[in-house]
Amino acid sequence: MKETRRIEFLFEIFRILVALAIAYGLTLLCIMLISDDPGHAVYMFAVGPFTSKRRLGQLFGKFIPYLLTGTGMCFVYASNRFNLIGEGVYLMSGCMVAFFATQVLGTGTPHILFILVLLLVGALTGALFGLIPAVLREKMKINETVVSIMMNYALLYLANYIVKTKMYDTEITYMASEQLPMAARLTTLVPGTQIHTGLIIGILAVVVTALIFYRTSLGYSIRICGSNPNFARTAGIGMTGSLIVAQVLGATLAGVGGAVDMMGIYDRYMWTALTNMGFDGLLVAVLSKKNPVFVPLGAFLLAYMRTGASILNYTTEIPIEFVDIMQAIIILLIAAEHFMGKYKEKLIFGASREKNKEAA
Amino acid sequence: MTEVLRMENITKIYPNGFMANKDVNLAINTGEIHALVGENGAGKTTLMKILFGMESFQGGRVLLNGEDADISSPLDAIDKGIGMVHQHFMQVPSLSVAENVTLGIEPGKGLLFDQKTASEITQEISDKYQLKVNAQERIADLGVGLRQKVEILKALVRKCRILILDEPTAVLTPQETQELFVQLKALKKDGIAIIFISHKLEEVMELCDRVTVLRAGRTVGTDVIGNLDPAKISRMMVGRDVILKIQKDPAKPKDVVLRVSDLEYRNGENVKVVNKVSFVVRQGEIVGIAGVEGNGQNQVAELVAGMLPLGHGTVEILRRSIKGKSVRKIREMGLAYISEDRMLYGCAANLPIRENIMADRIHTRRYKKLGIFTDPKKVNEEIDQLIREFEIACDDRSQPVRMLSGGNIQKVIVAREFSSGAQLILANQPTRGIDVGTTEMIRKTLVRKAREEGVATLLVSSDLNEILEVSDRLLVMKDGEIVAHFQDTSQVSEDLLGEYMLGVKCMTKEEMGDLV
Repeated sequence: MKETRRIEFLFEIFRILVALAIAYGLTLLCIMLISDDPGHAVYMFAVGPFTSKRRLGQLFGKFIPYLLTGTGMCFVYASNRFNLIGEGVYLMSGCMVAFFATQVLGTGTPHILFILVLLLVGALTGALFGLIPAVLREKMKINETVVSIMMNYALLYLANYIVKTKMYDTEITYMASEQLPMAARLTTLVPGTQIHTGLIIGILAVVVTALIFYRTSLGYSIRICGSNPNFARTAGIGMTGSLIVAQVLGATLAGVGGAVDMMGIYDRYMWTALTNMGFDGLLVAVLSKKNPVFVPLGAFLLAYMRTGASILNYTTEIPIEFVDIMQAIIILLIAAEHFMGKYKEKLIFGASREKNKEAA
Repeated sequence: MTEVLRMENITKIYPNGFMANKDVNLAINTGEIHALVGENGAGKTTLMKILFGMESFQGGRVLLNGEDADISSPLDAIDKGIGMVHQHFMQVPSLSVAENVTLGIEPGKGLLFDQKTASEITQEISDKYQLKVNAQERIADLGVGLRQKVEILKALVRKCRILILDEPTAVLTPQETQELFVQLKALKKDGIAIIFISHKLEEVMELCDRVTVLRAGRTVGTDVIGNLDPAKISRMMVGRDVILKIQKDPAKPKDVVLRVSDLEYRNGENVKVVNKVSFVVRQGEIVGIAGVEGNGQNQVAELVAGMLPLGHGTVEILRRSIKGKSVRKIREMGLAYISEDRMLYGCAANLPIRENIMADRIHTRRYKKLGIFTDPKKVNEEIDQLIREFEIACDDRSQPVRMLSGGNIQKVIVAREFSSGAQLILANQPTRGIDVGTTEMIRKTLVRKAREEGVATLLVSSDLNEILEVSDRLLVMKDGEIVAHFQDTSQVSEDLLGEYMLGVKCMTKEEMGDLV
């Protein structure tokens, strides 16, 4: 049956490519219909992210937090929980980072120490708020999806409240915190781009997550609990503990993501609506089939699409919502396991026939 | 006699690439009882699921009364006069017999259900075919034998002309089996074609007119019963002579390993399904628990394994109570547990063989390196060793378990449970639905572990052959209680065991002797 496994693997890649092709095709069709200059629009959308150093940098600016939220959501997704708290803790941790950077720590704090403390603040914020839906789910069987979605809004408005009452900058015309001191900003790696040292933290997160997944007993436990909870119980795995830890680790990584994004790209806290970065983390986890090793690929793909969309938005008259539609199609086709399933079965049937013919 | 059904060159491949049927041929006449025999995993059930419209197939055709029939769903199959009695009954326990029989074809006007007509219909058909049931009774209150009759009635009320019985005698006692045979012969007189799936050859010889043998998904042949004998059929089934006799020396039991006292358990409906059960299992002996399924054996197993909360009574493993202990703690105290349902409790189908075997032990220090990390070399070595030792047919250790055959999945599970170093093995239906080769291997290993390594073994099984062959001492459960205790299993016949399982006989305390 080695053949079956090979077909399943190749088919998975093929399926993602077809999903991309269909979604791109549809989008291109729409662009051609509504744009006065479809050639230019298509070019901007597909190739735009690679046309200048600045744009490529912009792509990496998204790629970095996706690495963190994506690995975080791998933990949640692999444990078969649909916990979306990553969205809320992402901005809350950005808010707490801004608060600590502007209100608590002095400008005199050495750069490295400043960064480490702020990363810790982000991680702890994530862990703390991540604990709530996780514990409610595992100890009291309260649906984690409902709790986390409601908490996301609570956290958004709580962050707004903190900005307004504690660190509001009255000298600017929109609602934002005071400016972060330079010592609190991550160093830019490539001048003129958004590629900052957060990239190292992101890659580190991928490596550590992959190690936890495949080289620790915690990783075994999480994956077994997620795959078949009844079996996990029979085998004596402590489910409550493993699943709480998985969800909290996921939220922690999302929190670090929020902190890194804040310190890497922004000069002040200004998120007055949900950032979608947590939800996007789930998309990355879906794209990478809950395998942290594939997170960089998934994160890059999503960052590329998002960057293309925003370039399309400011270089042509096409609204950014179009790209959201396209993303939805891609995700739908990739997540729908039975998409082209008949074709896959046919391939497997064929291989099986061949094999049985040889055997006979 | 006319041919009512012909299945030609049926080929079925499952989405995991497994070819379950290859060019299978089957022809059935009206008014015959046709046995479909073969090892577990030979493709009998698959073929019948195709006939009943539950599975698609990739090659061949099905002819009903000489015409091409495209059976798209079970509903379609019923319309075309095919009825199937599954191994697991498809019934609503809280409804009455009449309500179950007429479910989906309810008599009555508009939205109103006519209880009376439903009962009349049921009673009428029940009288006609001598399948005596009380239409008013609740399914939940019926025994397995009666529930099976209800299942047959369901098919008859829908005017079936072809009746498929998937191992109907597996859940019955010898006495109930005899009763069923009388009824089936009556149905045959009425012109109904019966497909009888079984691997009990004596039954086939007694009941059937013709036999079709399947082996490894292929048809070996069809012949009338007069030309056959059990040995011949058996050779056709496995391609060699099989002796499912197990050689073993008498047990020399030593210290008590498992002590169960006064165990009671109430299920979700507050019915006492385990009642005052006490017994011990000693080092080096195999104690069997027999009984018709659903008489509390499964609950006893799950209570001992820590899967159900212990209410009244105590369970001690090596003198330590398991009360309030986690499953992991209980396993550390010396328990290995092969659960009844392998896909639900025994494995994680999407994960590799490696994860499935390591599930209960990866946290131990044995596999640790540098404090927290696991040692992949050590893990892989041990997994490869187990794959060789238990002859698991697979590509390699990272193949997902779902791609293996049923027998090989069970091998993965027993490889884990037999290698955990346990002093008590609790095997709950360890060989259900798997091929003869694996069955033989599992039974022999159970005996070897008991004799050579002094493991205490508790075997729960509804397979009479298995329980009589493997166990040294034997308990029988009926309605949640122990009704019989045999000190020496080799002195017990299937008929005698059946009488206790049915509740025809019941031992007194004195007859049972020392249980604890």
